[in-house]
Amino acid sequence: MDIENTKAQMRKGVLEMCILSILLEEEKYPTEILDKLKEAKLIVVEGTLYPILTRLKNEGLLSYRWVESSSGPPRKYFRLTKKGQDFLKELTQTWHELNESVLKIINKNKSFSNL
Amino acid sequence: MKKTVNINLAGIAFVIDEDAYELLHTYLESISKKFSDLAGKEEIIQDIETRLAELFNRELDTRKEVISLADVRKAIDQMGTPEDIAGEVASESRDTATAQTAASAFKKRLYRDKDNMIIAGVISGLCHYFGIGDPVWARIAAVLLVIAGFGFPIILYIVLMFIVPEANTPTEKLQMRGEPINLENLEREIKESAKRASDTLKNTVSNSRIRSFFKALGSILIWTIKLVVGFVALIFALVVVALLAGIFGVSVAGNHLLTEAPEFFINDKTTSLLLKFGLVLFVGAPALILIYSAIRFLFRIKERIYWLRTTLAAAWLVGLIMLLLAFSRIGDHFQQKGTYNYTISHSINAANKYEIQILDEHGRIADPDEELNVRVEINEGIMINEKSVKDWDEVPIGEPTLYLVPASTDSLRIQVQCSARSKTKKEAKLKAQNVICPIRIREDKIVLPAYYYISSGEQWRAQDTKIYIELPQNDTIIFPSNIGRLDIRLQGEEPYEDEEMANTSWTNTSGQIRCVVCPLSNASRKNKEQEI
Repeated sequence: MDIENTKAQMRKGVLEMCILSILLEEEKYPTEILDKLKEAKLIVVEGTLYPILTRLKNEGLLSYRWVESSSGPPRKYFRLTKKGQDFLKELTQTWHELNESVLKIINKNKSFSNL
Repeated sequence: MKKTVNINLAGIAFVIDEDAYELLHTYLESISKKFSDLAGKEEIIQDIETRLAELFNRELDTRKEVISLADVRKAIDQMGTPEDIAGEVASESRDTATAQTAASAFKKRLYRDKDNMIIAGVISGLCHYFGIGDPVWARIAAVLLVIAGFGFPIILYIVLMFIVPEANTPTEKLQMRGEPINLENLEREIKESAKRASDTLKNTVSNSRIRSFFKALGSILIWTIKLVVGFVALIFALVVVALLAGIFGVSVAGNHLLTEAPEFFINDKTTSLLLKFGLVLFVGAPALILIYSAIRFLFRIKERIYWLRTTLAAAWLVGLIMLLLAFSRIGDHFQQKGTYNYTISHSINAANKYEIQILDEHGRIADPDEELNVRVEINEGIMINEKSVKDWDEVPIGEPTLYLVPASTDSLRIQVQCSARSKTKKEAKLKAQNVICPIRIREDKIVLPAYYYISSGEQWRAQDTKIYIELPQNDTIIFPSNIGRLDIRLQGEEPYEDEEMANTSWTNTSGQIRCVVCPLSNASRKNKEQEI
């Protein structure tokens, strides 16, 4: 069993929700999103962000607008759509429920925390 | 020192080292292949390129102008491998994508191996292609074949030397060896070629003289062939130009075809000028292109004169239009047909028997085996019976048709029907009147020409001549042995073969032309018919 792969799978499951959450308060462009994700150690290589962004956009959860930049190429600023907000709400709810149940199970096994 | 490449990444121009470019290109290509099945692939690549542009921009801001291999490596590390990135996509599409990548990356291509060459790297390239490890044996085999007297390896080598490209970039080198183009292999290849470059530098002085000798031989060979090809093209083009110069009366060998031949068909200045200028443009424009290309090829001139091609193409088109116009004007002269008839009668009926005599253009008895011979020659224009049209006083242009018909009168009459074509019926009739068909009746001889003629300077207008001999009741006509020179039509008889006509006699029996002396009897003729 490849431990790195399992970790990646776990991260992958919550990555979408995290990206949507980051965009909930204000619109951001990919580099800003990356900074947040890296800070939280949720992403290892930057490239993985882009397919997700495109997919979320194609599913109508995100929209974007172009903004000129003085120091580089023009930037795509992403924001949540109404559909995205609903989606995120549901995801967050599920996450909390899941988190609770998972913690219950893990905490029963006291021996693990002593490891 | 390194070569650099200019690239456009997300709309920003970067100067990048060649090896760094190779790596970046392969990186983006392999990402693109990973996502080949995915909707929105372009967008993802675009976004990744934008990010790369940002990263590079940051590097250049602080310290330098050119993106190096290290910069690209750093950026790729940060972005992640294609596999990492594709890991985000649903797994089933990833599998097909990987399979495709593998298939296309393993495609082997034939290149010349310049890192391992004696003359031009053809054999080592072939060895890579066919998976032969060491080219030494192939080289020995090739040399032995040549020594044994087979010339084809040399020719094959020269051809391949020209058409097979050299493997220059690391990607091409990987393709040459049939190794998959992925980031690891590319990285390794870049390192190796850097090492090879420094090795060659060290070895240049001590490197074998044989190799440099063959290298020189190779380049001499290439040059010689280029020179020959270039010269042939140049000479061909010059010949065309010389021919064109002839149109304007400049005395060059071979100009008669273009100056004089048209005059046999055209009698007005406008058409003639249209034809000549049209021809000059139509043939001259491509000829100039040829000369220009030959010179560029010979002297390896890279610069192009861009307006030249457009101008010449326009000139060619104008030439084509002029030619079409000229041809349609010539065609006008063939619109209407006109005929002119005249009669030659013979009042003294001495023998009731007439012998036909056929004379050729020199007034001699026509040779039965000859016929009107029209040729077109570059130096002489149109040749008729081995003599140029302009040298004839009266130009033979065709063989008359002879009709033998029963006469309604007592005396022998010959009706001549000449026809010609022109713009109007009236002009056509005049043209028909100008057809020369010298016929004489002398006591018991009818003298017919083997040809009909037009005067020198007259144009060909599809002239034709029909001779009708009206034979009175019970009179006889004797055909000579050379009667085959004329086209014979008999009224009231089964058609005879041309060769059966020689030395026959014909008579008018109660309004029907019958054979009197026939090489083939009526009986055998009937048999023959039954057989058929």
